[in-house]
Amino acid sequence: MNVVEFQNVERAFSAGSRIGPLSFSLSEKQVTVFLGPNGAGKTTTFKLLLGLRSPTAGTVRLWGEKAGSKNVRSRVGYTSQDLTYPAHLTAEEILNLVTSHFEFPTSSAELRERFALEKIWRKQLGGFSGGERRRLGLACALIGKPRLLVLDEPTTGLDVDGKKLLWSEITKFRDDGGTVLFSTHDISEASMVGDRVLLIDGGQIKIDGSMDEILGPLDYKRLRYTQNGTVTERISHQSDADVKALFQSSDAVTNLEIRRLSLEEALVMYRKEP
Amino acid sequence: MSAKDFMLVLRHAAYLTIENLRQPMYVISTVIFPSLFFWFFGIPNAPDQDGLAMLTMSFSAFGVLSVVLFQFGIGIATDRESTWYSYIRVLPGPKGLHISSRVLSGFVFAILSVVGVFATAHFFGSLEFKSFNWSQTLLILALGSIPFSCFGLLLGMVVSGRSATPVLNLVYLTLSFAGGLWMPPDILPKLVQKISIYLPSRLYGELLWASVLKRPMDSAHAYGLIAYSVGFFVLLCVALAREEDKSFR
Repeated sequence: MNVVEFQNVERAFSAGSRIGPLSFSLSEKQVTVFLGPNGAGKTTTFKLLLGLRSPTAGTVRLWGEKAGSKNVRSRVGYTSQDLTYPAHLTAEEILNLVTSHFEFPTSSAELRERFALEKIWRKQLGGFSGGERRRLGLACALIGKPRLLVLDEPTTGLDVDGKKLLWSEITKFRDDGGTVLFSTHDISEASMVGDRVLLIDGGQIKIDGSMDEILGPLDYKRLRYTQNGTVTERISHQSDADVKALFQSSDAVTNLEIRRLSLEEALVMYRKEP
Repeated sequence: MSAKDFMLVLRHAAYLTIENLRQPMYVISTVIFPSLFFWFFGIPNAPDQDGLAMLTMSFSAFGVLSVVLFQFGIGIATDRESTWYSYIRVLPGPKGLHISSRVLSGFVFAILSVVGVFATAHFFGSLEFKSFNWSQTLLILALGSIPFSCFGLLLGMVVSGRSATPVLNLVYLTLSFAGGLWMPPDILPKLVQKISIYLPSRLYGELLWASVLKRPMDSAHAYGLIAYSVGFFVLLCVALAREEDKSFR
């Protein structure tokens, strides 16, 4: 049985915007990256999955049950994109409060150690840094021993150590049989741990495939070099072949710079492709 | 609601109460301010024990209004923009957990506010409570707060977090003044007197005053409050449905 099943899901809003129809499923032991530019519909799709929004058409089911049912909620761990906790509670109080929602939770002492929360344990959340909030958010997501982890842009505000911790937790969770869905608008981040990528743009899934399948169509690079004293800048879709051709040409090429395009830039190019 | 769910509501209410107690401005504006205001402006203007009893109930109602309007109005408006509120809805728990816990926590602060006004009346105004029908008075205080709770929740659902404080302050002060909670209604400006009789705060005050002054209660005041409760509740349901439709990110 699929962990998540979206069938022709649509969500329309009174302002005229809409997403869908979306159809995809997620299975166990899989890390799926929801890749898309800002405003593509990633967060709305997550809200539909979590039962925070109802679809105007289609069905969202988790383990065969309706999204948002109590039984489903006990098996899902979630962190949102912009974490705002009650500013006057401490990390310990937040974790204790979340713990009380679950029958067999992970102990908060274990999570305190695992996510290096000692420094902020008795500190009120108003004084937390972005990274500290993220680590606490991840601890909250894992406290109920979930089977599905839904992480909405989880690396925002995280430092390098925080990102390493996040990737290792995601990998461990997947290896233990869990399903992970996380969103990002950073292609390189998607390639770190993703087994599969869903590319969403304009409220619709444009590509559903493996990392290679998605990185191919979006692998645009900006080449900048000097040739015959002239600075040239161009965008290349087959950068390796183009670079090879450049160096094979008779004229000397100097000051070569190669930079991968951001997702937003790559999508502009992708949309132009026939 | 199961016992486990109820315990969860209690736990959330306890943490909300702790959170509010850690905010001095919240405690001052909801618990201390009505007592202080009563001490400075209510007690000196009370002509006798009956007048003092009447003003005690007026300022108790003023205290209850401050809690339900601020706790529910500003609280919910701020919560709607906070991802913590969404996060709680994702956790396994009963429906309406967050609003129920807000109402319970508000109840705690309303009691503190009323106790403060009663203590001020006793210690600074020498009010004797011997003739008080406590059960009736407290019941009116509690049940009469329902329309304001619905109104506070409704405003919390329709105003933004940023505009909640000025809007709620305006509503709170207008209802208190025009409802005759700061001064006897018959000394309000003429135009305000004409409007006053239709305001829920005035209806609330009339029931409370009748209770402590041993006057017969006018059922129209009770029906008026019930009508306000129903009206605000229906509008609240509409606002909740609209909220579902609003965001697309």
